[in-house]
Amino acid sequence: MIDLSVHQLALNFGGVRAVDGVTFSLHEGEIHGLIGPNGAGKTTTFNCVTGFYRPTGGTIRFREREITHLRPDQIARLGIARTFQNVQLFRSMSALDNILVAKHSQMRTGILAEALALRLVRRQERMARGEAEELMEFLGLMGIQRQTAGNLPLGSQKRLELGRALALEPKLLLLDEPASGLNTSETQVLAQLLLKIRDRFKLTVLLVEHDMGLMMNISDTITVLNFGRKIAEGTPRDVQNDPEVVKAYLGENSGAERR
Amino acid sequence: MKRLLSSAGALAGLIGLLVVLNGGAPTWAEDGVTDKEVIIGAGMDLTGAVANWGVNIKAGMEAVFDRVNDAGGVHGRKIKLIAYDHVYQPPKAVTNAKRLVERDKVFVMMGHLGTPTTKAIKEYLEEKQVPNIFPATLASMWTTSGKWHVGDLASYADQTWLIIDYLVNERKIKKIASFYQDDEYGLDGHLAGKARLKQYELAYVAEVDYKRADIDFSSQAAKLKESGAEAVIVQAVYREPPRLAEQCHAIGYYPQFIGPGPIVVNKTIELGGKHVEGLIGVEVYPLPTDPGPFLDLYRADMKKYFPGLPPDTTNLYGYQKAALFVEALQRTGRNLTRDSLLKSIESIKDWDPGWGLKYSYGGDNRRGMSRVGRLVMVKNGKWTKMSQWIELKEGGRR
Amino acid sequence: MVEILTSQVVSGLATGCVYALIALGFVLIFKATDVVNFAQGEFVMASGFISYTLLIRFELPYWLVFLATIALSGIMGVALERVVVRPIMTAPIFSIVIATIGASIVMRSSAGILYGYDVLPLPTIFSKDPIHWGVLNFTLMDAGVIGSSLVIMVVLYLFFKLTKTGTAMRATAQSQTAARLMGVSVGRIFSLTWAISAGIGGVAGVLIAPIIYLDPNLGFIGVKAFAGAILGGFGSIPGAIVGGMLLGILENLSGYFFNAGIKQVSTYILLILVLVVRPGGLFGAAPIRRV
Ligand SMILES: Nc1ncnc2c1ncn2[C@@H]1O[C@H](COP(=O)(O)OP(=O)(O)OP(=O)(O)O)[C@@H](O)[C@H]1O
Ligand SMILES: [Mg+2]
Repeated sequence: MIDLSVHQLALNFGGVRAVDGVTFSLHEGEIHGLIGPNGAGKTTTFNCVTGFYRPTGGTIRFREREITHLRPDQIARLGIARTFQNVQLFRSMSALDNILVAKHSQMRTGILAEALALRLVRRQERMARGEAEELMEFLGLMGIQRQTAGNLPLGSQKRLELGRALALEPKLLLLDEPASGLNTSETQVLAQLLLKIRDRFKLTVLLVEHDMGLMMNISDTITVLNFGRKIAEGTPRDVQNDPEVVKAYLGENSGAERR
Repeated sequence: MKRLLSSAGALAGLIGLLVVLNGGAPTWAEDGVTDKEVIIGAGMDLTGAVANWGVNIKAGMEAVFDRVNDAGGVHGRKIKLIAYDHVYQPPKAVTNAKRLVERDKVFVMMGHLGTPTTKAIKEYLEEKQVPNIFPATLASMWTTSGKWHVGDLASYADQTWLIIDYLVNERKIKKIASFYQDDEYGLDGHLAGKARLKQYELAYVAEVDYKRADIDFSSQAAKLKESGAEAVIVQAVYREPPRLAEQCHAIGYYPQFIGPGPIVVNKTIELGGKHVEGLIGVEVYPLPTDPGPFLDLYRADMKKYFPGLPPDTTNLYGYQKAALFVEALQRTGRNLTRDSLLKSIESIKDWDPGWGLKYSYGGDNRRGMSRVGRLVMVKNGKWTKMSQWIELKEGGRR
Repeated sequence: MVEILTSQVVSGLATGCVYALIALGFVLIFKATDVVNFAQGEFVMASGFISYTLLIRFELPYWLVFLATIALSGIMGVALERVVVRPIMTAPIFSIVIATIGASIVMRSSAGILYGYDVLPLPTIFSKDPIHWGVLNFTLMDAGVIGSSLVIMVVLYLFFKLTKTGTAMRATAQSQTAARLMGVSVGRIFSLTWAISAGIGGVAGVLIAPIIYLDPNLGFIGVKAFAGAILGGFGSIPGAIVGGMLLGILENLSGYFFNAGIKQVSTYILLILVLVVRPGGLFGAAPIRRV
């Protein structure tokens, strides 16, 4: 079953065609890699899918529903969560509160009920807290619940951001360079964690990452972008051997690995 | 050439048309005076800290002008008052005065409100030779400032002398403090009081000031209490005495509050409630509820032209100014110039509009009304007479 | 002497609490939307008139008037956000700030047209009679103002700390992007922020109007509160509270030890002194200058 389908997506920034007619789709339960040199349009694609940018052309469908022109909060509530290339935590809130903000989107209580502190509200709030703690434990973040998010080391921040996305109980998870800034062993832990997450939460993952080792290891399918266009798609092995892809990466004088 | 001629012709035609539209009237030498109209200007506080005074003075003046105009005006001229809001701020008063004199070309300034605000335009009016008639300020300076300024009632200085005499002689109070607005208004009475106390070989036991539009007087209250003053003279307007009294009472301090004319307003009572019971003020003209044909006329005019504004010392103050001004216009006749108007004001002697008190000018007496005043007190939520009219001593001229 | 000093401090604290409430309104809106709302003082003024109308014209009981005024003021806040601010939210901040100044002028003149510029006395349930309590010397009015303000502050604190909406508001203030991603409708949060700020302004109005009388220029009290917010560190909630309270006390003491002139400028002298020593204000982070 198709989870997300992006059709002829296009977005221009002034003269720059950041995304230029890109089409791809995600199957339910797969880890789908999105790769390409710097400036290829990966983050821009993410921003279109999550509603932060308005595409100038094309359509985006999520489980048969068109979401091209929905607001980010509406898309989030439909079950699409993401992390950012540069971590976007609520920096001066506690780690637990970061997760709680997401957990709350699952609660369906109005402000009036809250103002009256109804029993229902209090019970839901207690449940949300319980679940948030559980999630933090799963991610190995116990012991830092009360700490201020902005003061955590980068690795923990990235994991916290991942946890916050998971707390939304999404069906589709978009991860923008989750391994950047991590060392080799940390990256390996992350790879295992991602697979565990996919299986435990039963979700589809769209992953942007420059670490080719990681991508080849865990992706089911890979889509390659260059200058806003799709230049290849297939299994990791197919893509690795695609002459267009090799050219695109060699054209960047830094080679296949980033910088 | 032909073209030039025809445009010259068109120009002449246009000028002719303008003259006809103007009624072909002979042009009067003086600004603001035409065959059918005399335009006068005023700066008022309509939206600021003493707006209650401004709104009511303007209404009181207009009540007189409306009645006179409905009856055909004075010597065929209707009186038109242009008033701008200076918000009780001197810089705005200057801007407004320039607009009135230079753009609206008013004949005179009439009933201009406020001591600091009128002082701010004093030199400008002198330079432009625009008379400052009956400004709505009783600072002593208007009685001594020469040709262009004409006051109407006894000054704050005169009134403060009455206050001191009353406190010292009748109440036997020696510990007297002064609470005054830190500007030309407050200082007028404050300094006069100081001079009078000196003659009794006394001095204020405390002198505390406040700024226009201040709203909190708790520190002033504390200082007054510490001084042990038995009486506090409030050189203030209507907002401050209730608030000061309230804040003095809040710290368990109950002196006799007493002040000049501007506090004798119903608003003071409305704001202060029980805290202003026993407050004493000086009146330099009758209360709006007093008997007399002039006051009957006043009450009828207010009811007719400003049914929304109940009779109050504030609008009566404007009303008597306008009545005095109309009297001066009557005396001047058809040939109305700034000089002839000032001359006819000088000619007013013992003129009583019908309330038992007389206006007199002449010599260097620019004060108008004989220097009279009386004390009134808040009793059961009403301003009530305490004494008969008495001749006021001339409070130290500054 | 001690009694007089304590009474000065207590009555200064009462005024300071009202400054603090208004300052809170400034800071909440600023944190959530980056807008400095110069109509904040006008919420205070307008709620003064609202409660006057409900009390005098409709003769409703005081507690009902209190609640209704807060609610109506909140609605006014939402209206201002929806009608004036939201349509130009993409414009430079400067234009938005100017728009709020425009709104404040409109509100002031409307009050003037509806009620006139005369000062009106607003009744209160708190007595202004003195109470002695050891060296403390105060009125029920002072105690009522301080008490109500503190209650409002605690309620706000619990709301932000413990409720779903409060957490979402804090999150939005930190990162709109991430908050959106958490399914937070940022538009709703903005409206809510304005409602709460205006509602707090409403409380301030009901509390202060009986003390300093009611007139269309009452909103200028916002200028002092703004100074209080800067003193505390603009953007800091504890800063707004402490800054506002400090100002109230300072004003009273400077009036007591010096004169009305010094009292008038004391606010600004303190402000300059604090900003020289701590450019970010008492509680604010010092601005980082990038080289
Ligand atoms: N907000 C923006 N305004 C203008 N140009 C933009 C904007 N965002 C992205 N671009 C441009 O669009 C192109 C694609 O950028 P994008 O961030 O999507 O690349 P990317 O594939 O994520 O690269 P990287 O690997 O460096 O993160 C780049 O040329 C970039 O400069
Ligand atoms: Mg990117």
